[in-house]
Amino acid sequence: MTINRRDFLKIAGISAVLGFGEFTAYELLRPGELFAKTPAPPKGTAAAPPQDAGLRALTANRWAMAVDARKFNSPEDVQKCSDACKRTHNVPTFDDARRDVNWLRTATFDQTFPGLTDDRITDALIKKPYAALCNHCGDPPCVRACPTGATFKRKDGIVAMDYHRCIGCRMCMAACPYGARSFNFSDPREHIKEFNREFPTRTKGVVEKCTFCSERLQKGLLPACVEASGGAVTVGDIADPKSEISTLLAANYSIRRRLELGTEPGVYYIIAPDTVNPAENSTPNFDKNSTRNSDGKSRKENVVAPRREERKNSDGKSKKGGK
Amino acid sequence: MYDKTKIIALIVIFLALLFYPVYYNLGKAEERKLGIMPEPSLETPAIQQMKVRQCVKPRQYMRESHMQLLDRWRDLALRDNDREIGVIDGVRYERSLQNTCMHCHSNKREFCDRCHIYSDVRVYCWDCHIAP
Amino acid sequence: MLEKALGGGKLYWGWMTFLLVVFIVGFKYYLRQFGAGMALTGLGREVSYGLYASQFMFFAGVSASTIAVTAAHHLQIGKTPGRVAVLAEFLSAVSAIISVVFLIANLGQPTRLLNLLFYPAFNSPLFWVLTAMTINFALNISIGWAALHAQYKDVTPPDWIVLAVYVSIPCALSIPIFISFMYSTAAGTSTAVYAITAARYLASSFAGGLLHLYVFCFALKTVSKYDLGEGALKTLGTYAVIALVLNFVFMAMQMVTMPGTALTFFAGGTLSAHPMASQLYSPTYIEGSVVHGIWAMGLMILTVLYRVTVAVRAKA
Repeated sequence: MTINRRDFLKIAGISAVLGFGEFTAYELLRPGELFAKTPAPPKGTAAAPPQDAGLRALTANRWAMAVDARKFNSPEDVQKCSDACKRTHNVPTFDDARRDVNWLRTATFDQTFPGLTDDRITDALIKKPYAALCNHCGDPPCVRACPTGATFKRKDGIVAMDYHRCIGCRMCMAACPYGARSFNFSDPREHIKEFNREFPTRTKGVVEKCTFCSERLQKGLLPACVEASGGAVTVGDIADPKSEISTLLAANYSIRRRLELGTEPGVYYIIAPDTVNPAENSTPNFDKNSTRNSDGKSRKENVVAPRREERKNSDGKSKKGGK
Repeated sequence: MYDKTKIIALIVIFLALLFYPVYYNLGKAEERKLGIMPEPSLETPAIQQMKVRQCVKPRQYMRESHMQLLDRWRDLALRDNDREIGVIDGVRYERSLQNTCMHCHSNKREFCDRCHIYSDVRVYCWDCHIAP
Repeated sequence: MLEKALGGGKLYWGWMTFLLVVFIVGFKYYLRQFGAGMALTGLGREVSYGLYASQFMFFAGVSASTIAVTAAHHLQIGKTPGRVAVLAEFLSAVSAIISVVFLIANLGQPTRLLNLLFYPAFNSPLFWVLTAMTINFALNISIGWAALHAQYKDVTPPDWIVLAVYVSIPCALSIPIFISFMYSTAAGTSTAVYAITAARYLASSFAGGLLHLYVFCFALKTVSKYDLGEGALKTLGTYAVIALVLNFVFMAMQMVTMPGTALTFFAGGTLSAHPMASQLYSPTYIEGSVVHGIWAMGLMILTVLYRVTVAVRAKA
């Protein structure tokens, strides 16, 4: 039998497509049946969950945080919270300001509230440090931008990260108006000061941010920054009118960051322009990792070009291309 | 035959590549421990203290499907925030690789690595999760 | 027809070898990035997108832009640019591949690339860009192959090409629009994205892509005996110039209606009062180097515009 080359290729192509498509079609019609079956896990092998399972977890309908900016007078106050967060979650510290990974950072007034900056603002506001972190927005642009759903909004209002699914495209970093997200440009393990062995690290190539300590909430513990702040930071359920945070916000004037963008942030900053004085000798810009001075010019000494030595292994041998 | 030299040369190269694994391992079965079943070790302090040595699931299920279990736990814990599994021997456990699984199996090199190195499965859990 | 790719003189094989060497060197450096992480790119927390992302968007736009030539030729709208249409289709397919390669190079975890397929997020503009590009690529490569084969055998192309071109028009036009959606998720939304962004992206993609095609066809005409058809280059140049002019018009309109601190140019605000505008365009803002780059690019584009217009008007 003779067959034309074109016809042969056409038949081969169609057979290949049918061959592949058959699997898909079967999978669509009868999902799961084509895989070798693993036996269903037998019941009753582990002890039954205790009756009070889930009761010790802290839950809320809409988690929110109130940062009492009146109580943060010096950068060290905010640094306590930042360090607690870093210790609990194995967040690395880099010398090069460009690679900075930070879940809760110390920021100036005009970095935190860019729309509110003006020529003359009271020292009580402008000379203070502010804790800038992920706002766990009600309408988060990062969730909108993520192409794989690695960052997603939970029903209780926390914007969570799934580090297993993140492909590292950094669209969420571009989308976040608050600069809350950081990318691991290199392997973070070498740059972690103290390890918390109960929590994983991240690997290079994924984006990370504040997780609202959801694993601590599950155990009934408050977030690390709340504990370290000594009462300056409060978290709670803002949908519950009788919760501590609701009463706190009802009694004090608070603002949120960049409201005009419509993201519905969940972190409220209680400010009081006429009360507590800032620490002596404090200047508006104390974020030593910032690459910009307070007047907007770039601060060259904080931008360090990566040198070849940076890529050495911990035992001093140089790294080759692969791991 | 047309192009005899080219065809024979390419056939020889093809056969050489095809049988490369055979003569790479020829005579080295002892040294590379080929054909010897790996035995992961269960002797860790945490397991030795257990009254009844049992895991969250039976041994055969774990042998076959521990990765499926870990994937399901990962999605439940991270995406659905469902972290509790219960109390075993009076200790409350959650769905966590580092705190639950590796709490008992704290000998990663003698337990996880034995089989994974033998079957040449590159496990990247430890890129993020801290190995005990 | 593939046997044509194996026959060729010294120049051809020399060019192929050169491209292969470039490919191998690039791949070797990519492996370094794969091992050491994205820190090798010099990007940072405050500048997280660099050449990779910008080239991804550029080549996606180039891939979309060839629809002008393809539609004109196969649907017989306006002046037909002759056999340039086939080259346009292949340029579109190749640009789509280059664009996806830049996207992969931009990923921090490229081994998880298939997560884009397994867990598609329908609210993400990046997902839609990739979808539109894939459909456009599939259509263009099949149309291009069929048209080239028809040329090779000296027959008219098959009829389904017209239907395929009709389908590929909205796919191609939507690519720059989806890219502008990607841009509009950027955090500087209040300072960098305007109503005219989508239209501007369309115009600039078409300008860039058609000029790309022009250069490519010109090179082909110089180096080989391929017959492009009468006046094909001139028609192509005309389209490119129209797109360029539109691009500049949109840019100028955007600059003039860009608000200063609160007022637009006509209401009394100045460009230098607007931080983003002054960083991009103001000649007196010396601090950042990007201004020099933008003015240099602007001058280059104007030169190209002038030369192409002259060339187009010169031939009868």
